[in-house]
Amino acid sequence: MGRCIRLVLLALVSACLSSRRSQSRTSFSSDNRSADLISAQLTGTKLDLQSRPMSRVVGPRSGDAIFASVERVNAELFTLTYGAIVRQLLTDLEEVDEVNKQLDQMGYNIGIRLIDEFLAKSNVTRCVDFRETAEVIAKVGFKMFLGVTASVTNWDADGTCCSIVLEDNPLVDFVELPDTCQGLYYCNILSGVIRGALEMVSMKTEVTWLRDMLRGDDIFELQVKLLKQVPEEYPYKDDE
Amino acid sequence: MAAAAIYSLFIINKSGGLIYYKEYGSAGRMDTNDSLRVASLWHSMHAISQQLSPTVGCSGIELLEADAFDLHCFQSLTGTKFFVVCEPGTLHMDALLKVIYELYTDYVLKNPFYEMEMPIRCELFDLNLSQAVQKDRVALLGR
Repeated sequence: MGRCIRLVLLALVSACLSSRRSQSRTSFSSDNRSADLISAQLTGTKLDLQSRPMSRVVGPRSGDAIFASVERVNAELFTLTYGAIVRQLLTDLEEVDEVNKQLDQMGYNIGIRLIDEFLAKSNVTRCVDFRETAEVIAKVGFKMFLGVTASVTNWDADGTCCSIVLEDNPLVDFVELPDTCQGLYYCNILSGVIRGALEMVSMKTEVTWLRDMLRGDDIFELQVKLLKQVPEEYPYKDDE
Repeated sequence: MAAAAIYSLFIINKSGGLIYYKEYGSAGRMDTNDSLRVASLWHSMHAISQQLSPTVGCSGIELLEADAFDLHCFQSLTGTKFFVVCEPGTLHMDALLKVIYELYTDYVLKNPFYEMEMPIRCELFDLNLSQAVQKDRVALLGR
């Protein structure tokens, strides 16, 4: 069976739950919730039985090294699960634009949690500028979570906008867009993940798809635009 | 099994609220109010230290040494702070804090029912944490 990639399934499920729940909050009784919690804990116990190797790591690790050391899941399972989620969203929401929005929101929900795992396991330190950030996302981030490496190109003059180019994308392995879904950004979850993750390290960004192989382009191209760098909360201004 | 000379562990969210507190042994036992107070005090002191520091780009206090205890602090780039209070001179606490951060990302953040920035009530996290702070495990961190 082809390649193996890292599972973000749990996170995916989490994102679905939180985004779906917000739409139908009223239909959840408190009893259901506690039952859900119990079942989540049960499945969690099953998934996380493996004990953790204790290792002392010094300095940033390469994407390959992290990818080799974390638990992975079969790539086809991952691809098919993602497909099932998109399909379900199309059924539920009917409008392609709404699905794009929902995928982006789900990605965002994943991103705001995933960034901590990324920082904890990669040992990267604060990036000096946005250029370095983009390189780290492409070389370490994509490798660590999806098992593919992306490249960064098309920088604008002031270094706030660039393109992340993916030649290989495990999400779309068996996918062909039908005529009815021509407006669908199938991988919109990825742009949401990047946006969410960067927001947690105080960078407001806008992430859009410029090229998409499902729409007949030769590569996947994500444009990442730095809107503003939100300063740390400190120092507070005393006179305001 | 005994914890490795650790008195207590705190996790503070980015706005200074205590989201996790755990005591090991009976030394320096605190009630809920005290632990909340220590957490928000530490959050502010950490912030002030960043401003007072003569070093440019200082990221705040990492170690506070007192007569009766050491306090080791680790702040992630997303702003969550982890700190342990331990016996003076306890080794490998920085490595332990990194391990705890990884446990937090695995068993707290990946729990779909955990809401961000809220108090942590995750059994799996408790379980893995109590293993990580065991004396012989912590000693292995030094290798």
